[in-house]
Amino acid sequence: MNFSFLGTYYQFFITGIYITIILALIAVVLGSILGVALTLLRRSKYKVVKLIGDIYVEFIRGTPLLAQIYIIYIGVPALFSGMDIPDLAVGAIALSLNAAAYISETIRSGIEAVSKGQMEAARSLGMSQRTAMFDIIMPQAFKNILPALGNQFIGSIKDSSIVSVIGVAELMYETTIVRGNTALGLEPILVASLGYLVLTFTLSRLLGIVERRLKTSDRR
Amino acid sequence: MKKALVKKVSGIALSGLLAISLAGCGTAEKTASKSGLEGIKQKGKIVVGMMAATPPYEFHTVDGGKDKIIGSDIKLLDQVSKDLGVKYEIKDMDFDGLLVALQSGKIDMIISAMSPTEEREKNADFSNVYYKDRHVMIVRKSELDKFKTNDSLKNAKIAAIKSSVQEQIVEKQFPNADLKLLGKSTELAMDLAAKKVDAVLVDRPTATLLVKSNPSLAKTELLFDDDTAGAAIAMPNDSDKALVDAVNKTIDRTKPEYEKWLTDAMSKVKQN
Repeated sequence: MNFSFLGTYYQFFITGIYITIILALIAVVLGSILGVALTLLRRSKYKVVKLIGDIYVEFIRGTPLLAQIYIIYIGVPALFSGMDIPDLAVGAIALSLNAAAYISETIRSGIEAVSKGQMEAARSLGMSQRTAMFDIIMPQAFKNILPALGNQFIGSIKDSSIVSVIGVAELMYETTIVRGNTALGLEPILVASLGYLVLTFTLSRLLGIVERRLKTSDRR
Repeated sequence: MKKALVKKVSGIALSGLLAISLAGCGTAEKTASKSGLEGIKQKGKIVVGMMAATPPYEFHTVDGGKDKIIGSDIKLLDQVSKDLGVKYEIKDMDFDGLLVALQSGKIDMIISAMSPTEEREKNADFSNVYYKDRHVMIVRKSELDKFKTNDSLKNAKIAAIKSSVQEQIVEKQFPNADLKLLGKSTELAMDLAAKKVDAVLVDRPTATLLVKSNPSLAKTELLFDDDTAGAAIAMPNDSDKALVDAVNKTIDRTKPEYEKWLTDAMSKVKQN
């Protein structure tokens, strides 16, 4: 295998990793905010509000991320004629909207995993629904949610590679350019894979630390 | 107390998000495709789409550690933007995405060795032709003897660029062949070298260079013509006449030089 191209082309991979990090970061932050909002919508007692949230999640979960990216890339300018969103923004928005749906599901299942006895006990102690939710249920739900949330974050790093199809210069896109220039099919991909591994491994280590910290209060 | 704070924060965050998205709608720029020549001069730049993986027309190279797109089409772009008195910005994307980007206003024109076909004429306005060449089949050097006639390719696996004139030629002349479509010319060469396809159809200058950077490939004697007039610059449908005329003026002026630009660009392609 020939890795000599790294001498001339290393900058491409660095630029790519930089954009990938930006995309994943936005996806995770915006996705979390939207995900929380979405979960609140879906737990609403107003049927219409709940329906909107549910339809949104069903759509996102039921269609490929690639399709969602194209819908935003082509659909938004077509719908709001004249509105031109930069490609990076399109990618970030698509990733965030996508992450929001999955995060909402994660939060929902985390909340439902807390035993019903907790809510019953809280209510019988005289707490309101609100107090019980935020002070008793949510903190326990959070410990359930965190591992799944961490997986979602790692997923966002890898999902960002799909954004390359609309020309955003993240890691996979840059890798394609290097492959084209050097006529080397495999080696640049291996380098890119290493790049993704560094990012995801670092993240999963950090998440492991956070999880361990939270576990100290458990006495199983 | 805590729940009130959480409620407030989430309320602010949500309304902030709404405000940002609405503000985004309001301050969006109108795309230049709606305002033609005047719009472009006002913007001060043209956004040009191309598939920058087709040496010698347009391709990436490393110049002093930085990525640069060069090629004969870039030389043409230099002249077009100079005559229009504006700067240019290149958007590199897969070939089949070019017309979509043009129609949705993401780019102002396409300079990517694109030939005006009947189908394409419906969706874009084309300039005069600036270059015309024939197409040739490339195969692996080891199989050069196997593919000496069109017949030998009847049931072969042939690759071409998605949404290209070569795709149409293969569909018409080799209807029983297994046609594989890819987004970039360099991907075609890689698939051929990796034995995923038996032959690849590209135009002659591209063939010369793909063979140069991939020594395991070779040109056959099988030449084809498409029924278009040649490569032209694509502009949005119903572009204003002033823009098309200005572009045509540049093309007419520079047409004799195009061959020289091609040979220049060919010399810049490195051999691996």
